[in-house]
Amino acid sequence: MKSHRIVVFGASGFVGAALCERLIYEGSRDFRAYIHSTGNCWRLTRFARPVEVIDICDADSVAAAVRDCSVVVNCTRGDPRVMLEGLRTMLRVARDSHVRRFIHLSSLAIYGDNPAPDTVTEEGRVGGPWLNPYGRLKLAQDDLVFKAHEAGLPCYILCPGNIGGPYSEYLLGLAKRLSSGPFGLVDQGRNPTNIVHIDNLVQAIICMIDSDTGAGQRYFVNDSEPVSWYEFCTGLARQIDCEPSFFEVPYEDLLAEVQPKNSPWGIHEHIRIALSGEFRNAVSVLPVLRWANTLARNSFDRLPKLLQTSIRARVQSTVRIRKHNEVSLGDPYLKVQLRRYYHSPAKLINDLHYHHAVDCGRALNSSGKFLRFSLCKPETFPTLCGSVSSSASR
Amino acid sequence: MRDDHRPLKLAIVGCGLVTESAHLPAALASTLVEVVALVDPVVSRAHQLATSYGIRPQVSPCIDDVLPAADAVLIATPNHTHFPLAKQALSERKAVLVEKPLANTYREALELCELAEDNETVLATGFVTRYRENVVLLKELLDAGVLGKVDRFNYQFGTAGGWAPVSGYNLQRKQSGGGVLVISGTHFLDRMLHFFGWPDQFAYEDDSRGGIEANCRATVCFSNSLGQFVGTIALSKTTSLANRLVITTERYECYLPEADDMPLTLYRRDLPHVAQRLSYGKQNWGDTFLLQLEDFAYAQQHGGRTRADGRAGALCVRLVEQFYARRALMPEPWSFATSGVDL
Repeated sequence: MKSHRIVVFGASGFVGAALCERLIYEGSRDFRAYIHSTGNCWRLTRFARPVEVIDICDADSVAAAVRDCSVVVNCTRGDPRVMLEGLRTMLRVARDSHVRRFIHLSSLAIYGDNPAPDTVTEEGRVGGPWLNPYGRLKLAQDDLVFKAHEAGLPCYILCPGNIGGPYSEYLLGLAKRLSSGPFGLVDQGRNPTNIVHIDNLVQAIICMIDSDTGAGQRYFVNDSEPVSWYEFCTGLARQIDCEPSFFEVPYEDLLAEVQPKNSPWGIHEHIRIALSGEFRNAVSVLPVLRWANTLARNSFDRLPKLLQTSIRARVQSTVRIRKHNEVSLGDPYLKVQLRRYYHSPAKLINDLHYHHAVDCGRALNSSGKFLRFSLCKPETFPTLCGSVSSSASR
Repeated sequence: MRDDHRPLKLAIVGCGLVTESAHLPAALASTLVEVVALVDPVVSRAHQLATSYGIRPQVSPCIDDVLPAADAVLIATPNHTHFPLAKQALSERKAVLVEKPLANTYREALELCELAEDNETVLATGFVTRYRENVVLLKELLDAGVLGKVDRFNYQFGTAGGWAPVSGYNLQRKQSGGGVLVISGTHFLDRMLHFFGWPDQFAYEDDSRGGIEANCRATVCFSNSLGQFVGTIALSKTTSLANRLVITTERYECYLPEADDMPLTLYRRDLPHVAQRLSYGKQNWGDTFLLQLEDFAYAQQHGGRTRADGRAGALCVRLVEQFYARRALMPEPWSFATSGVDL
């Protein structure tokens, strides 16, 4: 272990808090934790350690935070403006402060919702038509990080998929779904989950903190072997004593749902919005626009009925009524099953000598124990054996 | 106690989030109350609140300046300041409504109660959830014996983060008096004492490792006129929980959601598929902060006690103190990091 002075930005988030816990438990790490808001920092404040609030867009504050530090880990999340502006600030200040490595958390989302076969390695094509807004944002961040690396700040980029393990709200949501009724599986649940256990992700960050080579690269981080959605869901369900039931969701239907739609910013869309009652009512707050709206409305009412009906039909969207038992294909737990490829951490293992903190069995076991706690299973409450009688103390 | 019918002249001490979002709107909506002063050490914050609500109260950085003009004081400041501020106001015979917890120690809480009683003034604790329709209704049904003997209960309340006080007092035990047990849990502990009385036995554990706990669990045991029963309590600031109280009685399973506007739901144990959603049938029960404030104003004007008075606040502080005194470390069997590590 090297004696780096580490700064963690976004320390109260799921990944940041897990990293800080690990650094605390290692005992000999010199690190500082920075958060955006005190509302979410509970995992950190259970340790008697200082936590500081910072605005990552404020260069002076960031400069004070990274002074004398050698490693910066960026686990921040937020609205798009902050994610880009804050990252620019952190990178600029880190470079000016001669930080020795900058570790940035990216996402598999940069490969889009329907990644190509070549994305089994990091060299696969990023972006493309299946990119969702989050993926677009993470890709823009990656570009900033690579530019900073070229400008002299050694940078590492880690790409996890969805993150599981203790404190994962994603996994808790999945457990609740499995408990509450039939769960949709795509391709009979054959596709790999690409859910990385948080301890493995933290292990990868630690590996980068301690590494002297391999900067300027993007690395996948994943569990030790591919686990299919069916295996994962049945394994998880066993952990929480639930009998899951499944139904099949056709891959093609889901693909059609997720497929990038035509831009909603065409002329037709503008006219449709401008003529909608909601828009006209909203702008009619201004007297001059109310007058214009009334004028337009009166003119429209004077048109022949047939023409009115025809115009209405052209500008109104189609109303589609779903079958009462129809599956919502917008479900995020379905969309993620479109990924057919396991994004292997081989490069991380080979280049940075990463080894998994937990194997798949232990990962499932640790997730299960936490889920049982989160679902308030009876054994997670203290027993009254040896408990205190309080009647005398009242 | 006042015997006239003019609005209660209220000074609000502390202009943080709860004042901005709840206390001040309630005070402005009430016909029984007039806000005469806003106090905050960051005076600009008080001015900002006054401006945004279009009022012109006296604004001051300290309570001393505003007490002469006030009949009553609402204290919504960081927890460790509740005691000195309330003591000062009670000493000047002002009625005082203190946000929960009443104080950070039982000794302090008792001192406040005694001071209020000696000075014949009102001391209320801000257990606002007592004013929910579903809570009032459940208490009435329990007391009337409609539900039968209690068999067991389970309470869960958890969110992944949440509430970020402007002052950041929640980061330190010295200021907050505790973690999730105090910040989120005292509302339920008060209701538990209100529903079931004082527990005979308890076991408590939390995940504090030198700082303030983010998760805690308790098992409590009761033996009284409601029956002999065990309850379990789970509180979390890291994980979403079911956020409801379930009481199983000899006749019913009762669901009390952790929300102002959701009904109490009963399932007869011999007819478990039929849900009975209960209410008093009023069109609009009203905002709980407004109900709390008007209860306080009414008690100050006419005498009597508020729904959650100083004694209720003190009892809750007492229970929290006992929980912490007998705390055990919560196991975290899921943790890779803690394997074999004992801090």
